[in-house]
Amino acid sequence: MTGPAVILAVEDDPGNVALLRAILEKAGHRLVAMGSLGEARAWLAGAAPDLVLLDRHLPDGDGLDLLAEIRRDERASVPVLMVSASVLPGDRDAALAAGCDAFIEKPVRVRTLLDAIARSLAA
Amino acid sequence: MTIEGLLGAAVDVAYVALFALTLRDYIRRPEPVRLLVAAVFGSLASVLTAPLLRQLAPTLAAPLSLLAIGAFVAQPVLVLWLVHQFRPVPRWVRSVAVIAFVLLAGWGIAVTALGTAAPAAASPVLVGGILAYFPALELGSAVALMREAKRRAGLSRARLATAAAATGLLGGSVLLLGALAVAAPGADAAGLGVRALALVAGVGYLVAFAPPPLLRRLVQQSITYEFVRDLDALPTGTPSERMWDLLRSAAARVSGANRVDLRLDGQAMGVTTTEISVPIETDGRRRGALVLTVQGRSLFVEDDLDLIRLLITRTVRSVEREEALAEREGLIEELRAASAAKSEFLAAMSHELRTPLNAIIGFSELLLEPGRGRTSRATVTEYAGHIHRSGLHLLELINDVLDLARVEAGRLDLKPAPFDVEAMIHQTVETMRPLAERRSHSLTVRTPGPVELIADAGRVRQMIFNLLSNAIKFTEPGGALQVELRAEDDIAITITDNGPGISEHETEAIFEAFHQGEGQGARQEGTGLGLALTRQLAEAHGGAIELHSSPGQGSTFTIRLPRQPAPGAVMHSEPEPTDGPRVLIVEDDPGAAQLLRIYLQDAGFQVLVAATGMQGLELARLERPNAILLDILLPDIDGWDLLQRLKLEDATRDVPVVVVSVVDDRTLGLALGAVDYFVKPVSREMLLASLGRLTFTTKVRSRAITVLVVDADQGAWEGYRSLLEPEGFTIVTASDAASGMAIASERHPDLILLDVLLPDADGLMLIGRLRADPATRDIPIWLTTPTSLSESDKARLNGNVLGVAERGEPALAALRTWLELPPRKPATVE
Repeated sequence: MTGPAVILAVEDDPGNVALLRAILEKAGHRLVAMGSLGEARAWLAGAAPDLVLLDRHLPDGDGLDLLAEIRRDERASVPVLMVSASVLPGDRDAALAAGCDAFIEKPVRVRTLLDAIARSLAA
Repeated sequence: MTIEGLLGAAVDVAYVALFALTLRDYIRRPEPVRLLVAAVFGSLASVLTAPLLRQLAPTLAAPLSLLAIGAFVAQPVLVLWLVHQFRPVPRWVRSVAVIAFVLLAGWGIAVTALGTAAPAAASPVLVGGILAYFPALELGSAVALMREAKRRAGLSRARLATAAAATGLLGGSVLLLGALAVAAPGADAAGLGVRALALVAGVGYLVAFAPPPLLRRLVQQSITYEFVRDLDALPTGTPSERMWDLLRSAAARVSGANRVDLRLDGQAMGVTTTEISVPIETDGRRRGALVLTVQGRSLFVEDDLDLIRLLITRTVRSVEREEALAEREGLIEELRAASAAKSEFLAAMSHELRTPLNAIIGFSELLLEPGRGRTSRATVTEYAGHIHRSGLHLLELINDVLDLARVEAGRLDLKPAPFDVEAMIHQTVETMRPLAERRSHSLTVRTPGPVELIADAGRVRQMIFNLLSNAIKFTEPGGALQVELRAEDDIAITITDNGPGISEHETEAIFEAFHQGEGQGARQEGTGLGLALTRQLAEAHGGAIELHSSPGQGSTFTIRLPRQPAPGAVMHSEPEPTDGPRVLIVEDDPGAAQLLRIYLQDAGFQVLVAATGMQGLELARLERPNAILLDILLPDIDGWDLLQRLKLEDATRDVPVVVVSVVDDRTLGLALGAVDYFVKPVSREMLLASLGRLTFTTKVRSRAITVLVVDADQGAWEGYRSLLEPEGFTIVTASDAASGMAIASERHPDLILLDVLLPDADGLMLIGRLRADPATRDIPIWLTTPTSLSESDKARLNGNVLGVAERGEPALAALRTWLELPPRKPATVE
């Protein structure tokens, strides 16, 4: 897939949201940011993003739960990238085991993030 | 001699020996029981040996006969008294026995003394009386002893049962003897049988009341053997109760106590007369006591207690071994938990550090990226803002982590000093009020009036700050917050909100580092360390933090502090100086103000905080601080405006101002009269160095301060000398600009007092030269002038000099005020 994509970011830290927005809009994508799992679920019920960026530590739970829900239903094929500051080997393994397409460590490097997004959208 | 004669003699000797044995026992340990036992044997021995003695000393035959009859008749009464020692015998029984004894003994003695025929033949009444008297008392005693034996336990029961049997045997044998005497008078063989029975009974008494050591040892060994066998058979991990139980049952067997209680220290302890308390202690360490409750008289002897002590020692060893094992297990578990907690902390720490770094690295990469087209000025500002905020957050985080680490390592130096906690609460709340108002909270304070507290004021403020800022952050806009001070036995500072509340299972977890409550809505700013740190600080003061909350009901946090430091609290011995130079911080961001406050207070400054420009101006006028730290971005009048106003007013003109702001315009700041300029985040060392140059009072304590006086008038030198030298300052002098410059570069004085009129140059020119030379650039300068300067001249000078004063007395007065020197003593007034 080429061209602008609709990307859902589930992220509660306003600074991180601003950064993702800056990076993605500069790359020509559209960002929809949701600050909690509940908001993300509600939004996902009526929309189909091209890609999801998912944080783990959210005010109402663990991002991995949302990942599992996404993988269970008809949107199972949407690429999901975990973007997390929890970077111990166990965290990475848990995310990959839960079915994310890539695990991106915070602090995010702009190039790494954009490459991972491009790869996932092209697949 | 016939066999019967030999046997008879043997029995006689045996009784005499028993009498001697028991008498020896009594002499060794004079107790009523032993006396009675010896008397019983004595009476029997005297009856048996009377015929022998009569043959050996015929002249004494009559008295001996009388004595023998008396002793013989006394025997049942003695047995009854022995029984009475263990089981009370009703008074009437004893009275009847005594009356019977007196009647019978009197009759017998009378009959014998009148010297008629053989007692048995001569007096059937006497024989009949004896036949009724002896069995009645002996058998009655036997029954009483047997009943008593049944009430007892262990060895005691066995011994009393033996005594009962022996008494019964004696009574039976007397009955038999009487019956034989009536049926077949003079039958020696029968008499011999009776003697044999009496001997058996005697041995029984001996075993019961004065057991020989050998027998005692045999019994003790068997009990000890069984006890050690059972104790050692207990598997590892057996609860100590099982061991104490074994000890109790062994002690009961040894002592025959009716009840054996274990009273370990810490439990109620009281020993009544029927109790024997044996302390449980090893290596001088007391654990409690074994209390043996005995109903009636105890049969104990020292040996039994020795054995019980031995059993106690053996039990305590086993208990201690178990305890040591358990303690080691616990320690290992604790270490494991500590290690897990540390890993968890590091993981959380890594997470918390990465979050602000994400913005710093991400946005700076965007700024550095060779962009498609130019990034707009507004975008740059926005990105820089994100980077800056994240950087500040990171700094705050690191400071909190360091604080926490210091507390946990016990390295936090608290500096307790008396202060009015009410004033502090008001001050802190006012600092935070703008923040609360931004979220439309109402914020009320309730205090009972001034309350003195001895604690580390800076740390107490930090605790209040942390709790109040949490309440502000986590309560939905429009909340009601209250800060209350109560002075009870200790000091209680309560911060109440009507926010989301905290569920019970979270009340402990929220005090852990990096934990934020569930269901708190969007993640809040903060390091996640505030509560952990607050609790540690309270505990370091010997106090505590209490939390009462439930979901939907708001939260109440209470800081409890002892009125003065608890003896065990980690306190720095040196109290915080309360006379240090005063610095006014004008800063609207409570976090930034708090940081500056901590820096300054740690360095010995007194700190005032103003959250707005107008408040800053007010405080500067009223308090005349030694220096002002000024932020530029303020909610009402901005810092530039405030700086100009400060420099326009006489009251505040000479107070040196240091700008600390995110706004980077050093040139403008110095032009408006600031003496120094820092862009946030400010380095603690540089800030303190700058303030140290401005305020010498703290330095004077640690080292000599050198002051260079550049003045053509040598009379002025003396004025400065008399003012400064008594305070420990060193004065060097120069009378013209050239030598002033030379001395300044050579001696590098801490302060220059410069007169504007010099013979070889204008004082202002010298200032320019001093400022141009890197060696002298940072030396603060006080300028004296012959007259008061015009406003424009003063404005021009500000920023380059600390203060300007008219020479002579006004300059000395200003200097004295500025250096916070005590007023001049009347004697030295010129």
